[in-house]
Amino acid sequence: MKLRLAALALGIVTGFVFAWARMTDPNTFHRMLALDSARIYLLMAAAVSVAFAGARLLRGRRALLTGATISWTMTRPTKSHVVGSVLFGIGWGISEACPGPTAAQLGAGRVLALAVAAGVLVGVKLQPRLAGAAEPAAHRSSGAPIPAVQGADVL
Amino acid sequence: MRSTLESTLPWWIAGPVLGLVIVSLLGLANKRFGVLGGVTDLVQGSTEGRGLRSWRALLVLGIVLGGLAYTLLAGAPDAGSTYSWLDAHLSLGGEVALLFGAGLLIGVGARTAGGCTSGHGLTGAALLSPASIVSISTIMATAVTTTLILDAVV
Repeated sequence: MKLRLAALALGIVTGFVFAWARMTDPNTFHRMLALDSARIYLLMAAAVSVAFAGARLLRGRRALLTGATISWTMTRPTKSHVVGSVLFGIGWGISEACPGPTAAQLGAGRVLALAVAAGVLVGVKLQPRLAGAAEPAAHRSSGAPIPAVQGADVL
Repeated sequence: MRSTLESTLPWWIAGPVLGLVIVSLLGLANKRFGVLGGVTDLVQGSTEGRGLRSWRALLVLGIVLGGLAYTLLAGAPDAGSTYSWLDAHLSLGGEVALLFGAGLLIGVGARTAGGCTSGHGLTGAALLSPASIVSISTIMATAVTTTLILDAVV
């Protein structure tokens, strides 16, 4: 319960910042991806730097709400990461919005974000079936574990 | 207040605040910040729960509410039927179809890759996970290429 409340509050902060930083305006991402503006790259670099430093300070301590030891594991890149990221990048280039900013756009009243959001929901729902269909028949019949492009563990 | 909210929040404030959100989730519950996980729990569920019983789905709901709060306080700069530069080139129906298709690519791609710009690009990159660094590099390269091609062709 406390975790869910904390997640809701942190989500509100995130959505507010997305909107205030104008990441709810597709033109912001157009300028970024057309290499006309460094602003969002700097924003992401700043976020990663703060998170990097904070994570290292917290590592090995106990989480305040759950008492779990704060730790993480490294994941090795697979074909799924590359194939999925290419599809994602094409979709982002066309829509000029990724899932977080799209969610904030819904709250901010950008009506056409509903089309992007509907696509994302359907795509996330269908992905396991598409991955199953793309799986080579040999893998299926032999019951071999995890084909190359089934989908990585969601973070 | 209103005029402050109307001017774009500088990257050197917005970025560190998002970084602190990531650090907070880690410090409160040893959890990873990522939007795709919340979408996954909304449509399917995971060990974190299903629907609004999952903290990850509540994170996404919070992002929607945060966008709503900003729009109420700042004079709704995003509200309405405009979207992007595509508006001038497509009929409304064509734009809805294209954006839905782009959303499909995003949904299928992010789930295949196990994360999106937030999960891989911010959290995973900050934790120096090789899979996340490969993913966000691929995402960026593809998105930039797509944009430059669209700019050249349309």
